[in-house]
Amino acid sequence: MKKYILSAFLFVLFFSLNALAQTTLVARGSSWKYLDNGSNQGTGWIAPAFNDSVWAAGNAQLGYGDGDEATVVSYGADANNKYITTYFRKSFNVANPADFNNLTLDILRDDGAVVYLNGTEIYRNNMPAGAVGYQTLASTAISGAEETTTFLQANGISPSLLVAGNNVLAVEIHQSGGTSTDISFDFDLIGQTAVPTASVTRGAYLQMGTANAMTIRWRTSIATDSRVQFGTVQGALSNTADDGAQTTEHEIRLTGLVANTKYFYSIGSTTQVLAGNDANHFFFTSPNAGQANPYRIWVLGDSGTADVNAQAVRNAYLNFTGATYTNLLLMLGDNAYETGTDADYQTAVFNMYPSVLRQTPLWSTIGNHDTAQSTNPPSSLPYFQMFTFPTGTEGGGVASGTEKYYSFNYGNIHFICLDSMTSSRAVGSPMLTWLESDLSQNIQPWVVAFWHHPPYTKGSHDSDTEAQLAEMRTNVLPILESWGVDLVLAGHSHSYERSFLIDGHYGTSNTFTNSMKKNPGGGREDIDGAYTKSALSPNLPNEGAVYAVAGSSGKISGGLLNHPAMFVSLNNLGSMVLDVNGNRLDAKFIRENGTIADYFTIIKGGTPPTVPNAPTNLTATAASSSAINLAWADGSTNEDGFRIERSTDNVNFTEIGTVAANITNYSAGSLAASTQYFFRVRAFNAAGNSAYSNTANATTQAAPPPLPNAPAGLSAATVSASQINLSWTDNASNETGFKIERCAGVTCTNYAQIATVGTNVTTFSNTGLAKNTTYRYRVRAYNATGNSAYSNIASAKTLKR
Amino acid sequence: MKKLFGISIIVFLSAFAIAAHDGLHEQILAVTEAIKKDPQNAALYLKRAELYRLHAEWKLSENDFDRAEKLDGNLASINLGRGKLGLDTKQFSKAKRALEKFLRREPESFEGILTMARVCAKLGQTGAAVRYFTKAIALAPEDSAEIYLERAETSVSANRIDEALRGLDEGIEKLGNLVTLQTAAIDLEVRRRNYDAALARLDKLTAVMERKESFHLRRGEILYQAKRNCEARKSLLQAQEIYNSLTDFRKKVRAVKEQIARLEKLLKTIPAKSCQ
Repeated sequence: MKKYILSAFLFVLFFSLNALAQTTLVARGSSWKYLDNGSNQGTGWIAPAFNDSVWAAGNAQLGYGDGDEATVVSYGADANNKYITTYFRKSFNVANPADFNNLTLDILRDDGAVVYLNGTEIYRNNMPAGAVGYQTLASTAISGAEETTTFLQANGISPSLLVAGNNVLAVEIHQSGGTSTDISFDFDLIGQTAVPTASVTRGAYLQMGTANAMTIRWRTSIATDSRVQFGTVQGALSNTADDGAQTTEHEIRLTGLVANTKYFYSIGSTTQVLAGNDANHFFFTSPNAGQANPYRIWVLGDSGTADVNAQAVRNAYLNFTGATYTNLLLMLGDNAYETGTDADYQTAVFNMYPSVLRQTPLWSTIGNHDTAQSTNPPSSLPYFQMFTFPTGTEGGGVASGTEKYYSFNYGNIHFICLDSMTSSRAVGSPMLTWLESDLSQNIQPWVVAFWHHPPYTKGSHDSDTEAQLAEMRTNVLPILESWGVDLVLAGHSHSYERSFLIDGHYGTSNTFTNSMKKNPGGGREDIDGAYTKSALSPNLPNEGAVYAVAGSSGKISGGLLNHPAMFVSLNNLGSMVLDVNGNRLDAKFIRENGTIADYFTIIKGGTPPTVPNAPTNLTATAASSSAINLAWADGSTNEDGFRIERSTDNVNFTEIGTVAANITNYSAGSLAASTQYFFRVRAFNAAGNSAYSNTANATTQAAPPPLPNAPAGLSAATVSASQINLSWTDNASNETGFKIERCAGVTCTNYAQIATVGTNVTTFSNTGLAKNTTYRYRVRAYNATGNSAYSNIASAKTLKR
Repeated sequence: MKKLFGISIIVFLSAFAIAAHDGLHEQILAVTEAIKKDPQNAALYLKRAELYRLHAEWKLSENDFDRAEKLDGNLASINLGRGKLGLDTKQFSKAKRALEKFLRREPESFEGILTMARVCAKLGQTGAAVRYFTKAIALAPEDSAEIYLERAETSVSANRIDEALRGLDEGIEKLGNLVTLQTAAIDLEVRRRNYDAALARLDKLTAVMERKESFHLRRGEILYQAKRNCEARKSLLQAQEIYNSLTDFRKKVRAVKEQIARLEKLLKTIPAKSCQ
């Protein structure tokens, strides 16, 4: 949907190009002028200006002797001394020779032929080298299909021989001898368009990276199909992912990847690798949720100036990070000035950060310049077109249903992206409802939220007076803080402002009090100590968060820079770097000149947690033909949850789900019937995974049998005043038996079951009936799955006496 | 829910009435300069009218719409702008007239249809508003829960609960089992005392959530409201068991504290002996 308009345009463009790609200049079967009088025409007849008006004309195939000619030419009066040479000429028009980069001819010739285009020989076949005269014989006699149907092809004829306007082909067909029985001639000339070669004009860039998937996008100069080749060894990309659609906007989602693994890749089409398969095109998949490794995150805010400022900030970061991999790139909005057009993005983002974008997934929030100030932008907005963010649970958070706000996990960090520009920020609005739900489900110990409009700033914007900023502060912060957010990132003001570790400040700046500082220092480990929170836990309500405005990655705009919640306020260009490792988060503001202008650390818990103990006593019980219930004993007190793995061979296990801490059961569903499955469970927390539990196995129950077919042909026969005999046809082969139902009365419908009979029994004697009474019967088969449909209804009346 | 919706929309709109927008002032100056050089260019006045509107300078905005129209009455977007301006300034009837003119020219404009839906809702013309919202959903370039919720709220304002639910289900069908849509639907089911339907929706939501305690609590509350006290107690105890197992940190979360308080209050009203 989102690329519909562009795709439609490209579709038309592509097929327009294809139509031009091959143009028939002279078609087979065309009309040719010819001269068949055995005369010597010398060389003048090949000139374009030669006057052939007195020559005869006829459609190809031209010739004689085979019986398949459209136009029969003369060989003279003597069949034993036929004319050796027959001459042909054909005029055709070319509007613009530059349309073509190659010419191809196909010729049916018997016996020898020489072809001239605008006076220049372009083809000779079955003729001796050197000068050719009107009595020059063909080198050999042609026979078989080459006389009638086989066209010889010549490629690589220079289109520079063409002229705009009228062009002339001249062809001479030579006999191999005067007694040869036949000659043949037909011809086509094809012009091939200079089809441009595809090249990458944007990307590759990475989107929506998860532990098992990565989206790779790029743009090409012309529409092609899409192919990504990828693998874990550079130069040996053994996997391929294709999309056959012709497009310039390529988007391939690689799935089934292994977590925390380096993949190399190339991009291109099914016929051409356009970039990659080198040391620069690679990415790491995300670690599994909960995994605590060192992670580096680069944060850019309001970076979209596409100028020397942005370049300096970029270069400073690249110098700083060196060979350390950037796990994530967060963009805080206003990524491309002035109005977030596609061209703005090309210069401000894709041309500015190519080396990072092809290795690191980009996650962004939307700023006011990305929508050109619109609060209700259309989906054709370039921002929505070029980025792919989760709307469901792809990233590990609760589904938001929109790319405007979403969440994702990266190892032990839960990232929340909010939309302060186009979505309602009101209490009870969809975004805030989703936010509460998402936070209530989070089990990752670090929570980092980001959006564009800062809740606290006295830079080029003022959070005391601007609605978006105030609403985010008053409506969103209480939710985030109550769920223990650690760090909030925003842009909008073109400055760097970083708060103390604070909590509970939801009013204007003049309501900020020192009591709202959970730590009055700067959070600098070497000066006044890091900010600390009580545990490495996802939920440390109201223990404080750091708020950073990092909107100076492209320009600085000054301001009062005196918000009392801020520990530091700088009117400097720069970007932020976050390093998260286990229970500590280190943040730095790297200026455009490479100096570190601010830094702070948050440490959660005094010491990092230990790996949890393994769960024990895992049991597996088949619950149905498609489900097995698991239960285990919780062996630890510090787990964040449990990972459940399944195998069918007790060797290769796959993780099938996680449950939260203290949950000790799980129902494994979507299983095959009558199949043995092996399971194991391990606990996890920020320190890593526990050892596995014991392995338990169970076999799913057999699939229930299908319902039996309904019996038919039920008949009821009166035997006496108190007995009616029934008989029916058994149409099933899997019934357990039959249920017989009866009601009394000619039109009765209140059937009640009166008996069952066993497998394959097809008769029943109903005794003890009332005399002179009509009874109606129906029968159905049954088995463990259920009952069949009913048979027909049969009735009979007992005798009067 | 109705109240919240009302607040949401008021806050949402007023936000833009008082916001100072980054770059707007500069853009207005730039367009003004362009107008000086090309004073007969209707598109420039139209652009500045829109910028003035975003900057909450209503009179200046209206003046520029007038000038744009005088210069080129064929610019359909003038009436779209007037419609938005009318919505911003609470001149809903005037807004509607302008939007009617605009939609006659551009009947498939998503922006026009959505603005018209909101204007009709403000005018209390529920049926029309719902129809426009429905059309806006069909035309929406990108699906989002917001319009479904706005439409549902409009239906609810006229006590058309069934219609609201159908609309929410349409959203759920299209966008998935979103907590934003499903919780609104649960509230409506409870409001019309269709407790089994509410529970069925809740169960569907619970199934996809990793942490289930708040959903068990909600289940207990719905069952209690349905006067199925013993079933309610069972759900509440299920929730209580999970709440008890939470870390102390999590128990301190405001939302969790509130939930536990609700749980305990409710459990007190259903003593164990009443369910023996």
